[in-house]
Amino acid sequence: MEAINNIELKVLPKTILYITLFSVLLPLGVLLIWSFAGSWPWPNLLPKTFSYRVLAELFGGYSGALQVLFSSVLISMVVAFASILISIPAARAIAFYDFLGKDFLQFITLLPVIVPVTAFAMGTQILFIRLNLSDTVIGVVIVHIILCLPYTMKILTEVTEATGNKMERQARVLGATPYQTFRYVTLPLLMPGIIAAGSMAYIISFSQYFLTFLVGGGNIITFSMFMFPYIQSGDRTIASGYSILFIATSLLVFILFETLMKRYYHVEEVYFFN
Amino acid sequence: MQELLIQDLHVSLSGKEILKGIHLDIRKGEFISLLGPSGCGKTTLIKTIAGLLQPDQGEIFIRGQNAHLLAPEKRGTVIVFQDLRLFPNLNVIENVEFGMRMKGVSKSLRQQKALILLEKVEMSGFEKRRVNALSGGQKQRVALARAIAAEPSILLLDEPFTSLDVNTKEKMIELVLHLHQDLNMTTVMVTHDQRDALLMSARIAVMSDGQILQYDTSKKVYEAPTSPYIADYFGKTNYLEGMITEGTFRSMLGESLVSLPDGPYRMMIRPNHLRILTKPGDFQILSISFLGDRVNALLRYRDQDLWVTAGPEVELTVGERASLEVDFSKGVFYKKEIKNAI
Repeated sequence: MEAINNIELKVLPKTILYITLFSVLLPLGVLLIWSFAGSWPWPNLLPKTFSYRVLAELFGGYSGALQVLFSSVLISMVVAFASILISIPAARAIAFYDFLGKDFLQFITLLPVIVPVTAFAMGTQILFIRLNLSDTVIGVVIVHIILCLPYTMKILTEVTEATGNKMERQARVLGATPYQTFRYVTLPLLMPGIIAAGSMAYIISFSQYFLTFLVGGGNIITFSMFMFPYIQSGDRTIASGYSILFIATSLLVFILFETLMKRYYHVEEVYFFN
Repeated sequence: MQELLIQDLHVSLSGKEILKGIHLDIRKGEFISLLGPSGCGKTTLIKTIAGLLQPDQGEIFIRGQNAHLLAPEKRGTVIVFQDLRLFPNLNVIENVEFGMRMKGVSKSLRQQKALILLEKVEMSGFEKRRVNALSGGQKQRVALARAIAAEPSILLLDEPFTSLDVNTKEKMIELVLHLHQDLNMTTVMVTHDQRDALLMSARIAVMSDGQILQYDTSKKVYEAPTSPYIADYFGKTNYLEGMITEGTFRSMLGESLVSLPDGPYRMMIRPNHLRILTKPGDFQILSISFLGDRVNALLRYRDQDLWVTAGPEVELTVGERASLEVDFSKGVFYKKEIKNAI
């Protein structure tokens, strides 16, 4: 009886693992096949002919896909960086200090998630027109940051609370100035949270379509906007190609971000990738 | 010159007064203990000395310099916290080097010093280890080496031995004493264990409820506690009620000459200053606890219970009668307050 239970205990997590893996990898595989499909009539299991026109579309230069991809990655990186920059001190204030309106502040940072995006977008659009921020890159970056803050704030507040300030106090009595304490103790200890929050902010910004479209007014084209017509028009081959590029770029940025941070701050705990 | 001088220190934590007027002075190279139960404010006191807490009132002088406006990193006071707080992102030698690195000591010099210190705390060969892979005792050694490497003028130890098993603790005590002798570093140890305090420190400050009750040499604090509270802190003890008239203390156990003003007194006498004699007498043996190197016995005479410590060679049986000799010269007298019943 016990032996059966043990086997069941081992089998169940493995089954879940494989189902998860399958449900993630299967669509990716389909995307990859679609990217190179020439004609794929029903009821064939695999495409009848293959074509490489997606490579010309993506990397040929005439579509401008790579330039948009590059500027889009840059915008999202700036958004991720700025969100973290704002969230670290804000999270410290929430974790370590008691001040008037603390609960209210925590609540309003969550508002962009609670309020429907359309309502949020309209309000922002009107405000940004008044501030001359609409149709500008800065406007797009700001609106992305507002959208990312609930997530980065939540993650970094949790990590800051869990870390506490004990290590910082130890550093101070060992002779570290407040700046040195932040640089050599606080930042490395927060690094898992920073990597998680940064990746989250990056992906939220990178996949943002509606808000970018509204605030950017069509002047600011990001990669997700660039993809949209292809998905809508039904050219599955090109749409799949862009999707693959979208996923691959995000993955590459995550790996780059994490490796750089860990090398710089000597953090050894693995968060996403080894 | 005094390494540390504290005058009338008051400290509050979230509106509650924790330290209520502390006076303390420590000479250079001295080892002192702050002894008291948990919650008496001893950890608050060392945190205030190190500049992690701001006093409401009072002054702290470190090497004659008023520390009021000195940031923690400028004070030269290093705490080894009870929970050790090794930096998890650094390995053993990087932890030890931390203080020197912050002061801008060159890499080769700090590495050289760290290696010497790791050898002193018997942790050679562990340089590249992750700190989370160390045992409790090893972590303690690294924390100690890291503190000493920062070259503090005052080393503050917060309950350094509580989390260790008995054997590790004894080795650590030896190590700390050895390092103290070797480096002559002014050291303040916070502890609730009276045996550690007696064993290690030149002077003991007994604390209770945010105040220092007595600050004197270990011998004095043990043998001549200024209040029954302090006497009780160092273990079981006996109190004899009596009267002093014209220089003679009279109690149910006998008389002795003293030079104190007349009045009602309580005499404190430690169990080891009473001598049990196996010849039958007025005292009934109520209980015996055998502790290997000694025997603790509880004796009763009329309504007076007395704790007595005897050597293991003394043969005692519960329920039998014995007699007792009191060494009145070791007695400590506390005057009883006369309450006017009106």
